[in-house]
Amino acid sequence: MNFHIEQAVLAGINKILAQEQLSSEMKSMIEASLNADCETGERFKWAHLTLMCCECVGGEFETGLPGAIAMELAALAADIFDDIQDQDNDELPWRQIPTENALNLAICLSMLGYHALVVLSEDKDKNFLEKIGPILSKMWITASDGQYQEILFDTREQISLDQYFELVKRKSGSLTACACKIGATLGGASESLVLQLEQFGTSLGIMSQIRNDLHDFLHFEKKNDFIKNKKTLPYVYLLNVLKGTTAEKFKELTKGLKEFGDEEQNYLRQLAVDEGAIHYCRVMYEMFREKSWENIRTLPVPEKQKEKMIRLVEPNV
Amino acid sequence: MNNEEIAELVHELVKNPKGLLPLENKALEELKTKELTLINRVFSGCETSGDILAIDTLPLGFWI
Repeated sequence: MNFHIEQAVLAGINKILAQEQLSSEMKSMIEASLNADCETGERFKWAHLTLMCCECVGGEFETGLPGAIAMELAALAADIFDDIQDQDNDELPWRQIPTENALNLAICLSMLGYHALVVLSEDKDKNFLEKIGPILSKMWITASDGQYQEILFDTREQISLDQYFELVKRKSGSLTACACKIGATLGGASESLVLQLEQFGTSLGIMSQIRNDLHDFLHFEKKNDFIKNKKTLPYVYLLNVLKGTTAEKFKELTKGLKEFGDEEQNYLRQLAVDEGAIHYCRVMYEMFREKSWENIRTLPVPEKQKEKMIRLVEPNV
Repeated sequence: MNNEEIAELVHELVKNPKGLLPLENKALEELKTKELTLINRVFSGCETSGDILAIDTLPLGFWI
């Protein structure tokens, strides 16, 4: 990320934290959590996406910044809630503290997201919270409903592909859509432009989820999604297309009755290849990429303004 | 084509080494050209790379 953007986001967050007079322990944990993505170079990626959308519709950086910071804090909170739910990503700072406090941390961050709108924009636009607050709230409502459904899905034997995509749209698409909508709204875009960017965000979130699903499904050594019956895309695909004895063998594996050792892992990996689970994930990924590319390509804004957005989703060939 | 139909088609294509034969049987005109192009692109991409498991080639781990 651009150094200037990173510094501006950090300064904004520090201003909010200073004003809130949080305990030193909570403050340290927030800072550690914000830095968790440093090594992967993904620090402040949500703020960046928000600012890209703002810039895309011709908005100024300074106008988009409070919304970008609000989004960054909200997305971090959502990540923490998700990891608590999944009992996942044990190496991250919020997974190394008691769950009760990880919950407190996530609640604090989600509220700081709203507070960012007030603290960072008080002199510029008094309607700021009124404009952006409902977008954030809508995201929280949709995403938490998606998370709720996900838990229910994990206990079901059969899930259709339509159900999977509806869930992912709510659970993951709502976050990216929110970032894009905040950016476009703060950038002063018309209602139709905001909608177009929101749709772009939804597709981007679904693409991201497909990629994660495929990765996690195949990396048994790092993730235990399969054993936990998590309805990832390769899993749901196999549930729906397999027939006869292969289907029976797959279902037997999902019931966790047998040990899930090397032999079973290799079998499942080979099954994903031979039965087209990986091909299907790639096809669906491409379909959403194409959709989002079309969204950006047809945005009625100068080409120069949407260059960065196009680069995100343009075809590889 | 809906999600289930795409899944069935992909499954058939993976099972059939001749690749495009099932498409011909499926009344090609009913398929949206775009979807067909994408499916073909993915299948030929996988054939060319020779490593279907190399999923890291899917971009967008991080949106920069």
